Amino acid sequence: MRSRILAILTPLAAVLLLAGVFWQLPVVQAVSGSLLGWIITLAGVAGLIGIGSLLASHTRRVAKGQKGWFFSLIALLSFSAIFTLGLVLTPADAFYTSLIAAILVPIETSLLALLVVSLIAALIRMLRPGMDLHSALFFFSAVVFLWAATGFVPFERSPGIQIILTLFNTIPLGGARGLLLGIGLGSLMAGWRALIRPSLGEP
Amino acid sequence: MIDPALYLILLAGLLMGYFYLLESRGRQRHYRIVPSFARLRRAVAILIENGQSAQVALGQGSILAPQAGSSLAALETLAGLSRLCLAGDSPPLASSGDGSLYLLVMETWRMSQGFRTSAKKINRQVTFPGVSPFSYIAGAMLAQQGEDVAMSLITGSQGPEVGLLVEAAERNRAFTGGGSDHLLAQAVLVGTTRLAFTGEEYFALNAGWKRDRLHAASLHTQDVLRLLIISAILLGGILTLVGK
Repeated sequence: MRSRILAILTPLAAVLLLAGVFWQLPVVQAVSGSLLGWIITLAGVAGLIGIGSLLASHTRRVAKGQKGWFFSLIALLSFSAIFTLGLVLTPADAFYTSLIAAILVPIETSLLALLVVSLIAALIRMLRPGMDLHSALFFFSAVVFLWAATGFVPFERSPGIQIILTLFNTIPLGGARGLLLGIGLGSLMAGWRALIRPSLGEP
Repeated sequence: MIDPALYLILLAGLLMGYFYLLESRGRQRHYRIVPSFARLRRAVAILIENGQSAQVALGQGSILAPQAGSSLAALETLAGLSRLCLAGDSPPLASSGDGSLYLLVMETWRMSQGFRTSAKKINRQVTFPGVSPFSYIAGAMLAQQGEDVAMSLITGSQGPEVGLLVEAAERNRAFTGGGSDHLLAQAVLVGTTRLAFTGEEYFALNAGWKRDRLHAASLHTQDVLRLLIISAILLGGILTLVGK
């Protein structure tokens, strides 16, 4: 019964939402707008459920004294402090936003720095005897494009070097467009699959 | 005036219907098997045989955002892997950093386990590690600690910070692989994981587990549409040249 209802509701909702995107008729806009409103409200509630689950798992870890319980305790205390301050000062308050930025920005910058070290280590790991063509190309292009990005290119203004630099700018652009084309088509087909699967009764 | 994008969407649907009918009538068309799929299947087989667990990071792509396609593909991948893991009695750990996706992950995980799992077990296996990109990654890194995780599969919409999660999994000697819809994350995954699925390969991940008629039909449609778009680009280029 549940699957039959899903099989009817899923395509119906999709058609209504699509109609709202492609037709500017007031009736269609009103129906798809209210449907979108419900979905946004449901997504907001889902976010609250997620945060509740996050807090519950940290509380469980502290209560049971599991590995890393101290970090969970810090997470819970920080959450309570930020949440209470947000309620008192409101998120629009300048002090509140600067306080959060003062905590978040250094942490995220440190993690980014850590990521750079990890990537350099990964690049060095690629340099090994018997590395395949794919790894060699990746390594070579990473080094060349890093060097080109530094701006220290000898004879930068000479026509020959200009052609090479233009080529260097075009290759990644072409590659990125190719990948984005694949991603776009993949997303479109994933949407169709999600839409059709309940109607076909496929697992 | 109807938007040309609508024609593309409808054409995709019609083509998929046609290829699905062909698949249903037993006229299976051959599609290219990416060598990485075979390696991934082998890694999963070893995992099941050893009774170890896998971690699937489904990212932060909201179902309401343009990244929805990537998240839907990630859910299919989770369902496929979770069904395979039934044989080893070690269900995968799954994590997501978006509320709407989190609910879908729980539902997908529960359905793939055959409705026989308790809510307590679902809460233990399906986690919501954090809301912001870095807190999500940090939480997912913590979630795999203390678990016998032998595989870390990165799926969904992820940023370049996913490199930290891969690094943590590699330090635990876990097999790492995956893909994303984000170009920077793809570059990071190519450099750090053992198996990276780039571009449309990522969306075909679920077809790597077993032959699924609907997925096979959608892959054929994708191929046809790609050829059409490439032809249109080439034709546009030639016409521009001729016009000059």
